[in-house]
Amino acid sequence: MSTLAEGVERIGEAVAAHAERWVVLGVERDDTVVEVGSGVPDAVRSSHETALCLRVYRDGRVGTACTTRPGDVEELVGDAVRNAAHGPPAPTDIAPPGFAPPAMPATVFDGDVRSVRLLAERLGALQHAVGLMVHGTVTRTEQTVHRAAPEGRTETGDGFFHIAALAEGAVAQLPWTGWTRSATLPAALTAWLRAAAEWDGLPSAEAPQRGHDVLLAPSAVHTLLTPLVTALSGTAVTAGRSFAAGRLGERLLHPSISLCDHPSADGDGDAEGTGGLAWPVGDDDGVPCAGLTLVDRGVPVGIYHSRRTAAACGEAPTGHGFRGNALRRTVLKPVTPVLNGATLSAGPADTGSFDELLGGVREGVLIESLMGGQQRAGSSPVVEARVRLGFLIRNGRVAGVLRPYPIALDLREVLGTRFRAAGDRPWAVSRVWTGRLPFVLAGGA
Amino acid sequence: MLLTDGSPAAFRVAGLRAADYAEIRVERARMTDLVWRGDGLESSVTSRDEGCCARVIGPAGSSFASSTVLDAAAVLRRAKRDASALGAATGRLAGHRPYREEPVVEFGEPAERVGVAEKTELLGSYHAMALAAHPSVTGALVYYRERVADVELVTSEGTGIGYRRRDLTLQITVYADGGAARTAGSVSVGSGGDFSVVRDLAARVESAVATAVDLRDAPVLEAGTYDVVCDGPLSGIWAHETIGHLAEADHHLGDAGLQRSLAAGCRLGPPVLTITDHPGRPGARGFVPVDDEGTGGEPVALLREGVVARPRLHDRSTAAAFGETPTGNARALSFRHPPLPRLRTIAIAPGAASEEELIGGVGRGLLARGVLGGQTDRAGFTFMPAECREIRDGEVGRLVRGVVLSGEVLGAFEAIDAVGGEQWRGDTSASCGKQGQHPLPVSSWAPPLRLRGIRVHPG
Repeated sequence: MSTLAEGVERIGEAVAAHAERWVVLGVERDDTVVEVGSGVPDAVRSSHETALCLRVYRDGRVGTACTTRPGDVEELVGDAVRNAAHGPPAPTDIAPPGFAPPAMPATVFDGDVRSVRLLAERLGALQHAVGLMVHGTVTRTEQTVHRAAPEGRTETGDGFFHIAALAEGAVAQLPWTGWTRSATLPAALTAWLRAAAEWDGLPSAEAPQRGHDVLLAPSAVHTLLTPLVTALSGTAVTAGRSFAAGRLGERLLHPSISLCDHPSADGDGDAEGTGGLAWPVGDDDGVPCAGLTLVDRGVPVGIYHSRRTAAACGEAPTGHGFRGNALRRTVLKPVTPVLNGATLSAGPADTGSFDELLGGVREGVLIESLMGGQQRAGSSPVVEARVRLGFLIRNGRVAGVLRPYPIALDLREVLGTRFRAAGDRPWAVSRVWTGRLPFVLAGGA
Repeated sequence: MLLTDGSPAAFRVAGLRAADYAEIRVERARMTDLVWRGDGLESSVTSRDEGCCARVIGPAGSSFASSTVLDAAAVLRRAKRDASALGAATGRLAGHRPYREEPVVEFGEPAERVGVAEKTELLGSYHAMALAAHPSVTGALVYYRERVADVELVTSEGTGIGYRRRDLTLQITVYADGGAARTAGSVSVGSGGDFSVVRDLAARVESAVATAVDLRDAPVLEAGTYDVVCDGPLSGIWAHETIGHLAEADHHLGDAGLQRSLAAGCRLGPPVLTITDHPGRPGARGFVPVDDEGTGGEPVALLREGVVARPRLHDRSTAAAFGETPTGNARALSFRHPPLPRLRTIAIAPGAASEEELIGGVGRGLLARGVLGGQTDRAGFTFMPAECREIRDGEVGRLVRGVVLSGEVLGAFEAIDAVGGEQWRGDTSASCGKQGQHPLPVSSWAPPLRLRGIRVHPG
């Protein structure tokens, strides 16, 4: 039994005499990061993290304490009990809804610590293959999560690589991000960098005047979608800042568009090796993880909840309560509702490959990334941002690199009245937000 | 000292070579987080966050390792092993001016001496007050955080020092129903651990409620180019996000364009503009008398009368790369992170203009106060002020909503034509983020600024 597992067990024994109910979450994680600069691995960082969080329910109140010292059981229990004296009222339903996640064996993924160096070398070697400067990071993560409550204990584990790459040319810097379980570069990364190399030699250009088509890359779709994703979280609803609260059931987006969050099956990757991460069977509140439709054919229909936000809204918890997110637990953060496997899709008639989407644009812009578009935290469906990297499209081809310019995008228009099509494959967009999104094409206003 | 009392024994045992540099940093932090959301108190959490890290820099490679297990020798061995097995780059550090420990300066009302019950009662009263203030209020968020960390740093060069970092932030945001969107008003305060800054905020909460409620009926501004008068807090954030981040020396590595644009002697702005990165003052968030490499802090004049004076804020690694002197800007968020060149307290020197003169000189413009959000990629910036009012012919007029200021970083300095005479020195809850290290406490001292011809677009 590991030190952390022993700590979890001892906490359970020690706290039982002080609280009507209790929950312990313990996380043990090892990360190794190799940084690549100009095609060469040039720095290494590693971390080992062991942390515990104890939540107690005592005299109708909740007390929470966290520590990185698993051996100091009495101290942690004392802190949590003291906090309960001034803590928030306990929800009336403090027992989990009849669910104890089954123990899941630790996932075995290939490679020891040296595999991260190997991947970094392969990433750096792309610099010679594509003719652009290649920078980035390769991160190898192994994580074990322990959860204990009076009804039982669970232990889950996972391991994976994250790759973040930046192809730097004379006029453009194109990012790429994704996860993999094997020490092999995803084919999609190589293909993307080759495309970037072709675009780098293009001339600078101004965006066309109003009325042109807009093709959003997955990163820009993420920025555009963030107000809605935020507004549909139990956190925004309970804070009173959600523009979507009270408007569920009203059409907001194009009737072809749906937004779903679903746990992936273990090994459910795609042919190009950019997916396949498995989510836990239960969240940190002990609620089972299950698929949830957030937007059904253009109509927002669901809020994703932790147990606390669900109770505050008088709804059922949805299994989205995590400290940090499912891929990266952060014990020192509170449990909040988070999406882990969100994807946006369109009906078959409105879906095409990237080449088909691009080929359908006579005059427009391809927006790769936006800056400053996430400042309103779900309070407005409008994103005001600055185009950080964009391209001019003429006659179905990328024809120039846009100079940065300010832009305002209303998701009710781009994903509603102006929506024309979505890409046929989703992409990872961030190392923090673990959903995957497609390209989206919107017609001229 | 928890570690070796400055003794190099731990470094010898780890098998370092003569040319290797190594350091060990140990940190013991206590945190309190209190959050009110929805009907009342949402969470009350205390945390003990402890760990250590080691950094090895040498001809055979460089690495950084951290652990929550307080075993300095083990983490140093891991760093040494990774540097040999995985590291590739040769690293070197510039010589520096070691910090000499100074007597602890007492200030205000240390937050750790105020009981949780008193904090809960006081801060909860602000939440209740906001919710009850107006029928249009849809919710309020109150987020209080305090952190006290004791840090010890030992290096293979013989440095052995200890220092305490304190931080405290309070963010209160009030939301009102504005139809298709929510409108917001906010109170944002912070300190280097002085709890007194969160007392007596009732009038500011009332003002935040009024802003959120009044914004519901405020017209959306027409997009265009405006003259903008920014208040001190907004000017401070603007300076931080523009010249501040541009001057962080790691951004200059391999970027010849930035090195040219920010070369010493280049004129960027008008003679009324002088900006300094400062080690700050006791009791403030951006007080950094010693950085996390043990270098003593000193003021660094970035712009002097509109001309670039010292273009780079350094850690010891970037100082070596540029053949310059470390400036005391090597900061790490916690033991989990290596130090990077980071800002401390950005200070815009006061000018001579009164607020009446700043506003009186505007025909068609905006008076922008506070900040809801801001971002820069060092080429461009976008800022969302907390509150904006129209200026017409030198008179402040109606509230307008959804204002976003944007532009090119380097071009914005030329847009400044007047600097106010009163320098604001309060702290807010706004923190700095870089390479995953957020929220790093920073401060700003800034007078109001007037910028001509800023691009404004509405939301």
